[in-house]
Amino acid sequence: MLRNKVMDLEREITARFVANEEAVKMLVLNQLHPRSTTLIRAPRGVGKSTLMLLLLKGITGDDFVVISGASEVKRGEVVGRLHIPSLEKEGVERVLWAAFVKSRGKGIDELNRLNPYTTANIHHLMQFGEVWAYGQRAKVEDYILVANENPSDATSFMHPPPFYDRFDICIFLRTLTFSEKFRLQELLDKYDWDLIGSMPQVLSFEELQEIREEVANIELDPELIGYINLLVRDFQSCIREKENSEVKPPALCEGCHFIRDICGMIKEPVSERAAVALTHLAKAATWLQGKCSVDDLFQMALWVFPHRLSLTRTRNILNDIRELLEREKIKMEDRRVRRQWSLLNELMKNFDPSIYRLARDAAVEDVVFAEELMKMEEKWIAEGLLQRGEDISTQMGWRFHRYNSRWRTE
Amino acid sequence: MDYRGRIRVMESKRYRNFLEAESKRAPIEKRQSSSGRHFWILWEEKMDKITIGKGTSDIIDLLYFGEDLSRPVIIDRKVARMIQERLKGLEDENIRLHKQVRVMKIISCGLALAASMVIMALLLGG
Repeated sequence: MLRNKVMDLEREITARFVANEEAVKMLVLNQLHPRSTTLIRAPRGVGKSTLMLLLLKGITGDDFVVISGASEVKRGEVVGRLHIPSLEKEGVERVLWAAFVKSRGKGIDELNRLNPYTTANIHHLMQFGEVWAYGQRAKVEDYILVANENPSDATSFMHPPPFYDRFDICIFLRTLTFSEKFRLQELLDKYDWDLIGSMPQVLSFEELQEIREEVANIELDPELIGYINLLVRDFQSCIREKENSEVKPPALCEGCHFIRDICGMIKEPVSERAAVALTHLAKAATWLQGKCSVDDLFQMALWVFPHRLSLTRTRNILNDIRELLEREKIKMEDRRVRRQWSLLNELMKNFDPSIYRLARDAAVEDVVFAEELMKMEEKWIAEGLLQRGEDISTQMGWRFHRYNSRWRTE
Repeated sequence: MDYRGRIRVMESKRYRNFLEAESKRAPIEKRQSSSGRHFWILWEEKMDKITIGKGTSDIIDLLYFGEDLSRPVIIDRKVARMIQERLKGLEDENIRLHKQVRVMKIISCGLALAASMVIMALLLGG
């Protein structure tokens, strides 16, 4: 019943929104966990606001508020304002919380134009689920938040990367092809040029919360959890610790053993929130479709990574990430062909020199695998099963920092 | 954190479950050698089987050892990607050098012009 309603929601949106089917699918899927946040990026006039409004209307009916970065949003107006009569008559500071705070559906149009003060308020809301105004705090109930922006808008504010990181996914919309333009004109005629007005409320917010509870209780397959973590780790790991380095790739990669690897293409790695977002999406897909494959994960990663990383050379962020994900698929397949995880599993049960040699050969070409193997090497050396000098850490000159268990290259 | 702390992290149930699941999906076999002193670690790859004819099928052998190629040539995806990356790098290098050559040409023309002007000035002055 509830599943059908979610599918109906997707159907109703796609009935009014031409093309970008995959983006719409991901948009709907991302609403199935508490306090969902979605960012829509596209050039002007492609339908960012339309898609945002269709979703808000489909889930919250009229219980949504949209603020616009393009309009004059005053300091604090988004959160609340002081009740002047209370202050004048009783000397009490009473805050009237804004409709944006109280509504279930929250929309932000032209996010990139939002002033820094409002951005900070929304950042705090997404981080802690609460808002502050005039020294008073208000807890914000479960919500859906959808924002949109045109990244090439010249009047943009530069919002900090941690702010964008709080958005679970970032979907990109494209312009319509020749034939799709005809379809849009037909739709506009059909709905009397009022696509938003014609959108019915398919789900109630209470039903959405019920779904969110069910989705949260879904147990993911260990293999899938492993692949989520592996995918994120491959987009983070750097033997020269780029996240804490003043010098960033490609300069940092000069002379590095892994210069041709994925890590060499990523300037700023993804955060741990990427794994959280992928887990939410995988659970939602399992709840809705009954399964979630590794290929589905790669599809999801395309919308989870773009706003969380920066590349050494960006031509078209979506295509660049797609290419990196293709390489990642090959890498994962290589690991299977080399039986890396099977070797590690055997080694964790019992140290065996012949298995260790195979694992060490694999580790020389795989940073993430090397990280895992090196943790075990320390134990084997301490137990006298392995001599210092035979280990990959010594042979390749890689070490763990004692203070935080991180890499150090010599 | 010493090695014990790091190993403790690896005892996560989900992590072990992942390794077990992967081991089942891609199993390895340990077999004792005929002499009884050694073990063989082996596994079977059911995918990507191909009949190999005369010559080498490995493109690396062709590139680095100049061996003749057999009818089917196998390129490991990693090698293919590496070749692609190198080609891309060489193309970029080519473009960069072309630009440098153009700049050098302009500079040498300028120098030649300046030198000829100096010579002319000296001749006329002399």
